Amino acid sequence: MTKNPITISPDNIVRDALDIIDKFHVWSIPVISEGKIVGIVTKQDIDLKSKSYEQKISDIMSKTPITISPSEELSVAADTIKNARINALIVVDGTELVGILTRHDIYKKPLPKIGVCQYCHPRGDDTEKELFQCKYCKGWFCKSHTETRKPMLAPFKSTDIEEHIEWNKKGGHPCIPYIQALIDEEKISNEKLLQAIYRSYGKHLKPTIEHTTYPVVSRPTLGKDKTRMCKFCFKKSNELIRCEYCGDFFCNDHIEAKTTHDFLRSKGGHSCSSYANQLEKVKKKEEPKLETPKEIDKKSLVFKITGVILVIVLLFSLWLVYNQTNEALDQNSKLSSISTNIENIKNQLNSVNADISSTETNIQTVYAKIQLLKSGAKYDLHNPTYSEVTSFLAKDKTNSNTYSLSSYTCAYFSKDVNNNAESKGIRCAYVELSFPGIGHAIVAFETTDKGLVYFEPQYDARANIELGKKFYTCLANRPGYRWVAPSYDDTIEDIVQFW
Amino acid sequence: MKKKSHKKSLIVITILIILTLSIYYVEGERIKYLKTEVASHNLELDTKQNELDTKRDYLDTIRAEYQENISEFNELKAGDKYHLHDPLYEEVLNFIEQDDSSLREMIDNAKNQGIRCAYVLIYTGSGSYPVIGFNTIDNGMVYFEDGTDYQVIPEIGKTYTDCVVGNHYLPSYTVITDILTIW
Repeated sequence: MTKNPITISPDNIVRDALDIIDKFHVWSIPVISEGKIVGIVTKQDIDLKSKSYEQKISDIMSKTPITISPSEELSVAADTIKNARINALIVVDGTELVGILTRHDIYKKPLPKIGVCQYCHPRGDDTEKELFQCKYCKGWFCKSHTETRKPMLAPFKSTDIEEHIEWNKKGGHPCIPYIQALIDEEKISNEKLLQAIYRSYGKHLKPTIEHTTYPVVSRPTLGKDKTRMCKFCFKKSNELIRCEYCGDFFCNDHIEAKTTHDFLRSKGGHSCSSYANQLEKVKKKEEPKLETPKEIDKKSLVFKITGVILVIVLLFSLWLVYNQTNEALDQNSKLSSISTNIENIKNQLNSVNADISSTETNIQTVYAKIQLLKSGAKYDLHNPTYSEVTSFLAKDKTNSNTYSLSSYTCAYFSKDVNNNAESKGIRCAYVELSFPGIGHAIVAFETTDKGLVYFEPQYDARANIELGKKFYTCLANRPGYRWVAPSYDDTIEDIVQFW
Repeated sequence: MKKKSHKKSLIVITILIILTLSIYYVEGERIKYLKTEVASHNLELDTKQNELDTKRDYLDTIRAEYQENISEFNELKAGDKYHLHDPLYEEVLNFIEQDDSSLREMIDNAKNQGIRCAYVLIYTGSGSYPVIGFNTIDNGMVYFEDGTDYQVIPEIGKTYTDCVVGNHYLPSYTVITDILTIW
């Protein structure tokens, strides 16, 4: 560390700080107020935060400086600087400022010292020599053993020439951290190689970074000797442009920020590590990480297994869907079948209902007819015996009626006897006899003992009529009666019976 | 490129699985609905079948009853020349329509079927018109001509032609003087 560092007050202005930086070639200045540390101001703070030379230090300083104790190990300080990404640590003892420890102090090459070589000592040589520190293992070795080599066994059976060369090397010391460093270097080298490959084959993925140009800041001159100059070509100018990445000022020809690679291959611009870092970050974000074959194989295997599992799941899902579709179809067919059955049954029901309705109507009709028929009169007739006929005729008074040509003729006599007989259940026939030019009516009975017998109802006289005979000759004799021939021809020409 | 295609394939398969599972879910819901429908239809089917069976039984019953009534009706209508009944008007119409014989035969046929009928003489000033008469239970006395089967509604004082239903004859001027009904 640098003891008793140059300090500045928070009430000082930027110009004062720049004067200190220019005069003492320091980059970080502790800010002290009333004997206490209140902050730290760096050249970077001035470049990035200052708006004018008259601005107070308190406006641009870092108010929470990172401090460290003087008894702390150097490695801790190095880690702190590395992790906090700062250039300097303020060393304090309690609250008292002791010194300032910069990045340069930590990483500067150690000076040689006088002592016993770590390599020679175990081999019996304890002479004090000028020692140099190994940058890998941090051990102190004499000049002939300062060089590093790989710690390895004799490669008796190895066919690798490099291994034999390495083994046969003289001088140096076996250094394990050296191997680690070699591995790290190889890794870095590989990464660089991969990045180079990527740049060659993946240019289309190159990120585009918009280059924003800072406005020209007209700065007041700092006197004749303090005029700003381009950091690249040292050309003095009042119209320099600040690089948006590194914050330094450049002329128009060199303001373009470039990576070292691009800078070496094209004219103009300046090599800007901040730009390169930012570009690297963007690339890391956008570029696909190139993988080793093993990683590729592993990922490919994972992909394949995942794919197989997904395909199995897909097939299983398809099988489920297939089964479900079949079931749905089955249910659909069942439903349609049941629907058809329901329709059939509905049709049958309609038909049966119609049948029932018509049958009920028919029943009602027939029932009504039955009732009517039952209410109607019944007539039971029988063929009488001859004596029954004579007895009936004797009782019947039709023959006592008086014949009248205009109102009560033979037809009336016959009708009355016929109707009276049938009202008593005796079957009787109305008989029409045809004479030449005239007709006559009598009655007839189908007797059970003497067969068909005719009677003249006007006289209750039996008539044995025959076709061609005179009717008056057919009448049976009765006591007190004598049949005489009528004035008309009564020859029987036809006999019609109406039962 | 290969890795990208792998990724795409996996995404496609995953989408297909999601789609398939969605279909599975939707189909499942549909099957649930269908099963409910089937159950409800089955219930309806059973109900309708029971109703049909009941109605069929009832139909059988009333058909049997109808047959019994028909038998009774036929028994009531049945008869012969010794057992007569006053017919229904419908019975008379059926008989008249079927029988095309002469008046005397018609009377015989009716009586042979147990239908009581009368030989009716409708007297006019110029002579008599013989027709067949029935004393129907429902319509009272009805008269029909034989041969033409025209119905006649005779009234004393009217001309015979006016009494023939349908005015089938030319008008005559002799009026009906008497109606003689011989059973």
